[in-house]
Amino acid sequence: MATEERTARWEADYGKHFPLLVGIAMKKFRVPPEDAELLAQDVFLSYLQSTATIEDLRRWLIGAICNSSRKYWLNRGRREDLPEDYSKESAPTSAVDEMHNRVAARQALSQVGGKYREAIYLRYLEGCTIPEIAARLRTTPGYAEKLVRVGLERIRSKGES
Amino acid sequence: MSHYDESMLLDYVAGFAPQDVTVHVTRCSDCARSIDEMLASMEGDATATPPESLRHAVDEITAQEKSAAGELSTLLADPSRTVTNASAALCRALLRHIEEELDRSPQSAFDLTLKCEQLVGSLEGVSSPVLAELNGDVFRFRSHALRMLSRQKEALDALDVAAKHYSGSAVPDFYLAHVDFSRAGIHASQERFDLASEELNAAEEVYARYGDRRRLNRALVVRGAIQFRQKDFQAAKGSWRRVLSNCGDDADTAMRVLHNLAQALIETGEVEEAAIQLYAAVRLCDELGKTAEAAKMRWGIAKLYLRTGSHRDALPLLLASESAFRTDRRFEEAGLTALDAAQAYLSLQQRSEARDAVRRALDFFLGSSLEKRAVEAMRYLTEALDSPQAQPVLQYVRAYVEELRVDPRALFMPPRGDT
Repeated sequence: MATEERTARWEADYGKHFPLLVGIAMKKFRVPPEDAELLAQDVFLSYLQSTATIEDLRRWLIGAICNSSRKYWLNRGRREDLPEDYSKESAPTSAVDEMHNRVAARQALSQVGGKYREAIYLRYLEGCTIPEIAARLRTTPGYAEKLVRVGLERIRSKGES
Repeated sequence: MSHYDESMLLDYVAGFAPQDVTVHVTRCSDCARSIDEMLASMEGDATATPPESLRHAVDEITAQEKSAAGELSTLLADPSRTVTNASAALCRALLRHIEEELDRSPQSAFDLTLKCEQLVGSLEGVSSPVLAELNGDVFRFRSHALRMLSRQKEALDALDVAAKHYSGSAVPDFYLAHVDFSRAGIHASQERFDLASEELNAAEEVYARYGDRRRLNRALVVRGAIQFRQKDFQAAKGSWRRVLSNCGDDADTAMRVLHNLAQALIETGEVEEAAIQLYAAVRLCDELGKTAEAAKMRWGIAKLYLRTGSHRDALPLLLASESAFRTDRRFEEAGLTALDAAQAYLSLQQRSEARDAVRRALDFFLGSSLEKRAVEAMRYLTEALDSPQAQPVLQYVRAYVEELRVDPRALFMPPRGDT
């Protein structure tokens, strides 16, 4: 595809999908509107420079905005207060830690598979206790605890490697 | 009607739905439709225009893209020269070239990945997700080259490095799925089918979630091949049928999968159904102008007819295949097809035509890499053609020539009982 044609196509894609990306960043990840727009712009720049052949652009862009939004909170969660409505969440340690755990867990979910992912999801995103996880996964509490522990170890080892 | 609410479907699209939801939505057409509707409603009718600051960045990238083609030609003319002020666009152009080079010369592609790694390392002012994708591509392509050079262990190591880079890209799970798929190919080639299958699970899930039908189909084709090699023919049929229902107007994929499916059907004794699939594959081959593939498919159907005793039906297909193989200078296949024709003629008591077919086979083998040993076997066959043992001798010789293709050192021994 010629460069001009590619750029024109990019502009058309931007016009069509930009509001969706901003909407997802705001609604799903509660990113403030101005920052959501900046994240979406970065996603479009990455798309323009991507080497990949992308079959379903909308899904690719959504994957990118979700990833950007997770990273956004991962970086900001360490140094900024949480949005007010997050005080409603149950917090085993502090609201900031909980938010950080949730964002980190979401990001980490793509790094582990199968039951490990499910156990981590239930533990950190749904806030289930070990017995609750065991019940949901139809297994013993001992095995549920092991799934969470081994899942975390895998995530940690991937993060360090 | 979807089986999950919008929140859960959005979790699925975002990649953090629980496993049971992911497994369901991956295979559920209702949920897939609901996702599309949900996203369309979120998209709305509003359109946006890029702000001025973004336009400047785009203009810069566009300018780099325009000059990259010329820079690439200069670089390829002398890959040893030092490139100053390399751009991300030049790296992308070089990566595209490497991808094309992989089939032509894996060693040259490998060497170019070293150069590309150096260029990407020298880039300045490029965002980290873009750098991560470029580096990931460099190591993934290097892995492909290494695999083609039969350096499997190093190929796996290169994929590990690619995965580390891709984890910093704009869409990590999407690119990591490419790594999973490549790993699956290497494991499968080493007959480590369980490992290959695990990698494919991960890749298939991501490709389904990203609506990447083409890559999902590629993964399913490999999965079917693994199941076939494990002799799980029912499962292989399932995988390949899933591809067929999902490949839309991708005639090339459909053609290959129809052929694979036919082989699985033959294994499960569904010969008529196999012939139907092969005829459909032949039609697609003809439409696509793929004469070599069409010849192979016709040959496959003919062999089915021979197996069921329909020799008269087999002959026109065998002769057409033989002619196409000869045109394409595929002399081994042409010779084997001629031997199959000889078998059909013998069954129909047409000894003279059988003798002609064996003579043609001999001529083909003289022009092939099987020449020396195959010719010895063919001479033996020629002498036996007038005897009552012509049929079993022909089958024996044909089996020997097939074996010779796999093991060029195989010696020809006359059948037992023969002096």
